[in-house]
Amino acid sequence: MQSASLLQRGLHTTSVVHRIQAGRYKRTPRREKPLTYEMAWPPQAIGHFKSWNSWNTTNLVGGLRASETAIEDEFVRRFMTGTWHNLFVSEIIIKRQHNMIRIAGILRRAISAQKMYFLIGYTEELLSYWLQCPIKLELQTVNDKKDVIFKYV
Amino acid sequence: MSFIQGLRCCRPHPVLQAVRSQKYSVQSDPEIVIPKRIHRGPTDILRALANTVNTDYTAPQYKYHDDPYLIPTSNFAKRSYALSQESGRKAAKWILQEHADLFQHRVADPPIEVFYPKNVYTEESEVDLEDLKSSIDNLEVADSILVYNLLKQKNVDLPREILQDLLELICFYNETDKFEEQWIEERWYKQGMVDSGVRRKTWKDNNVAESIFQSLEPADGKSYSAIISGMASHGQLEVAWKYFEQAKSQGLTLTTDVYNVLIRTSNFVKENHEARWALNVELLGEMNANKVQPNVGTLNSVMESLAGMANNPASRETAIRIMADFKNINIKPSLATYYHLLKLFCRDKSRPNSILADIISVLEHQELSIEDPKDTFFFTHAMEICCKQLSDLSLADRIDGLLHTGNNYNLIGDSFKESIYYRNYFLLKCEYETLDDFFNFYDKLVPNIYIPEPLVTEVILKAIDMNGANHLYSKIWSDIVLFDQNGRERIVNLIVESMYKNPSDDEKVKTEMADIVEAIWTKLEGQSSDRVYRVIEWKGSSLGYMISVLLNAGRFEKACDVLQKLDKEQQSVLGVPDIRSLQSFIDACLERNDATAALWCLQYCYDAGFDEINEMGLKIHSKLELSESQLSRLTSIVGEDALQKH
Repeated sequence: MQSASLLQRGLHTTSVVHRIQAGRYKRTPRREKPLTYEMAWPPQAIGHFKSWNSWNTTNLVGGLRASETAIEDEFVRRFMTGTWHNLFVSEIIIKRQHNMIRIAGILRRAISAQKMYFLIGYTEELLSYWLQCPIKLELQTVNDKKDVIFKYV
Repeated sequence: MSFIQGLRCCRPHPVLQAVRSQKYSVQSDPEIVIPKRIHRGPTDILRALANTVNTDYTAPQYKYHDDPYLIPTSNFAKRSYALSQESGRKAAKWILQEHADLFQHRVADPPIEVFYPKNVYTEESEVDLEDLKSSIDNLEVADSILVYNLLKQKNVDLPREILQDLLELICFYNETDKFEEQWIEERWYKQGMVDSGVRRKTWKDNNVAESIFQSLEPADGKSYSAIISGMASHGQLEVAWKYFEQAKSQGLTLTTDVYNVLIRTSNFVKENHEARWALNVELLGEMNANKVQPNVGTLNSVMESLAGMANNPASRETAIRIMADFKNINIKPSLATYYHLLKLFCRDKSRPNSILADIISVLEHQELSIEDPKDTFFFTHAMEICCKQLSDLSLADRIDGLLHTGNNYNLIGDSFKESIYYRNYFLLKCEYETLDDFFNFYDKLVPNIYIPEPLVTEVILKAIDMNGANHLYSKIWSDIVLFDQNGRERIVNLIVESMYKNPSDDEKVKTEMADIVEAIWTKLEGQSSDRVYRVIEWKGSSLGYMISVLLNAGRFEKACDVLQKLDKEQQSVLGVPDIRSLQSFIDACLERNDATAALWCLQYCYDAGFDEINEMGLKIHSKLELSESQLSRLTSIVGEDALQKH
């Protein structure tokens, strides 16, 4: 009797109704919401059609500083979006190799190249004071926000 | 199984057969020689890998971001981008220092000191001997002086070695803080060290160094050496010599550096050449008597002193003798030695000297390292002599080869010296190579390594003009635009004139040339009248050339615009165009049967006072069907007689 009820509880008898929402974008009636390539793919496509935003070895067997790395990456992302205000048109990619952190992304050409160089120097230097390792920026620029739009939903 | 065996019997596999027939010789050589272990540094493998990669001339320098928007295309952009980045780094450094309390965490293990805020000492700081030691070790001049004063107030007993170190530090930097080594770009773009003969006195009299020196009672050879070299290298020669005499009278042994700096500055102590040289000989003799070992710095100092007396012919022979002497005691000259030799021997163009070729033969294929601050003057000066005095292209190539051997490029100095080096190299190449070879060279170095200055661009334009290589105009013009030189009057006039002189039959080239003229026209029209700096003046001759080039490509309307400018703004246009340009305009009108334009041009020729209007009028009269009013206008310009004659 007891085993039968356990069995029953382990068995789904209704259709799946829960919604998975994270990392997906709702369609608009007129299909006017722009998505980048990165946004266009749902999370399960990571590793197939798109890639990771943070590259590090902390979650492998014997990896070190998993939680610290996650927090630092979040700090870096917030720092970047704040410092390069309204300029990033892509996700911020953080790659760690040895003691080096490389931060990559795509920018709009909304400010002069000279100002960008100032911000590059500032970001690299200040982040390396904070994280205490060499930081490199690997930036690419696009003329317009529309250049990175992959599709409209 | 039997099937396989049978198969093997009838047709053995060739590889199997080869393996079977092989004889294994295991015990042929019993002695195995294990090579000695070569000790490798932690970065050796990276260096080995780096050696496999050649320079990519198409990529911007590593300090710039590899993105079309962020790659600099002019000398100005190169400078401003690099310095902007450094300025950003400085801003971050300022924040670090200003909010030092927020940056006290230590994440890195082992700790990396450069990422931490610097210790700040104030008048109220509690300091001890360790603080003084560490600030001396970190070469913080102002900090060490402050800490030293604080310790003195507290009557702390300072050991003699530390005081000696402090004295040396202050004397070397003359009480001013050193320039931070981390600001690479600023050093690169700063108008670097100038090799000037005249030296101002920068030594501050009665400074901390002197009081420390007084406190080191009794002063020994080391402390005397520090104070004398400090004073002599910062222009306080009088007192330096006083101390030198004092030290000598006490029978103290001074260091080689003291003698070096005294020899180097001997030209400011004595008036005439004989006295200077006598002083040098005396100092060298003293070194010998006191068993002070000379070094490459001594050699360079002697040479520098001799180079200061270059107009004395005797100093050349002396220099050669000195070189031989130092060779005998196994002191290898550095680049600075050769630089002084060049200054001594290659003084004017009228007497070219082969010494540079000899120097390069000695140095060729060597990996050099810096030994003297003036080593960085060599390459620039050598190339300058090669270009301006010797005009020897193969020698210039050898100098360039030497510069690109190993890490010798580090010895180029700063951006200013680098640009002089390449300017001279380019001028020489442009003059003595065929245009094709020159442009191969040009394509390799421009724009990522070197961007020609306006002067060099002019020389290149002249070379194109002389060779009549009219297919190169579009290429050079696009570079001129890229390097922001299209607003320069001389360059614009030069390219227009040169295009006029080298007309082409090729349709493509014709169009290209006309496009350039239109671009220049737009640029000239676009410049605002209230600009004071670098305004291009309209020149009649250039406008005439523009008309010809445009007509050659069949752009009659544009040519009319240019003529309009000539006609309407005669006050602001300097001079008049060449008559041949105007004649070609009239010919174009005749072809198009455009009598109005032809008469208009003729009127302009009349206003400008050309003698050729009569024959031009005749031509119009004979070739065109003129209406009554046009005929009367023609008559009014050239007169009845001219038309009647024919």
